[in-house]
Amino acid sequence: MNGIFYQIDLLGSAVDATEKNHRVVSQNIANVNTPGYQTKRLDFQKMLEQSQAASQENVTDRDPELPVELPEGLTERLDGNNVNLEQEVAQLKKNALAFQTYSQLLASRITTMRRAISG
Amino acid sequence: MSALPPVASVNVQSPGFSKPAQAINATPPSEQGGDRNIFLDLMAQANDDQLRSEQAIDSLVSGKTEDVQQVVMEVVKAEMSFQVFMEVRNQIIESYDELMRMQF
Repeated sequence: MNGIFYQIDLLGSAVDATEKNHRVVSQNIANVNTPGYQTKRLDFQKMLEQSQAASQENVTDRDPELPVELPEGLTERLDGNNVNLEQEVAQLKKNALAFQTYSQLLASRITTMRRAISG
Repeated sequence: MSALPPVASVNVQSPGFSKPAQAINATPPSEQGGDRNIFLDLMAQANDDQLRSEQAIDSLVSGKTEDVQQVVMEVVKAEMSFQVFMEVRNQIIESYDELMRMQF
């Protein structure tokens, strides 16, 4: 995929994928006291590919199934819940930083492009 | 001072239209002839910086690198060299206009 919007689309998909990741981690935090709840993780690369494919084909379906998976090796509490609150908050922060990075890179690409166009 | 070369000899790959990996090793067009054109050198360099920053963004998004500050550095450098190029171009055009307005 080439063209002048290649980078903008790529970064847009990355922003989209981080936003979806934020939803998944927030859901984990919201369910920290739900008995039997299992921690979910978003597969970022798969999400990115999915989002890129959606932007290429102009799919209007904005709510496809998210590629989530259940990570192994987490200690389960007595009520069957395995959410580790500290770990999830750390994930949330990490994701927020990624979002910030991608959106700033996107903004800088767009500014450069605008400057190139208007001269 | 040599005249501006014909447009066809400006053999620059534009960013976004090509895979960045192939373009980085392209020689600047002015090295082929005997006379160096500083403006074309500047343009080729700004273009290379753009391509390199695109590659850096690509590898960050695809997870090949985790080095965010390296990527941001590349992008900022590319932005700045592009700004320099635009400014030089504007000055050249401005001086051309100035010459055109001269009354003899």
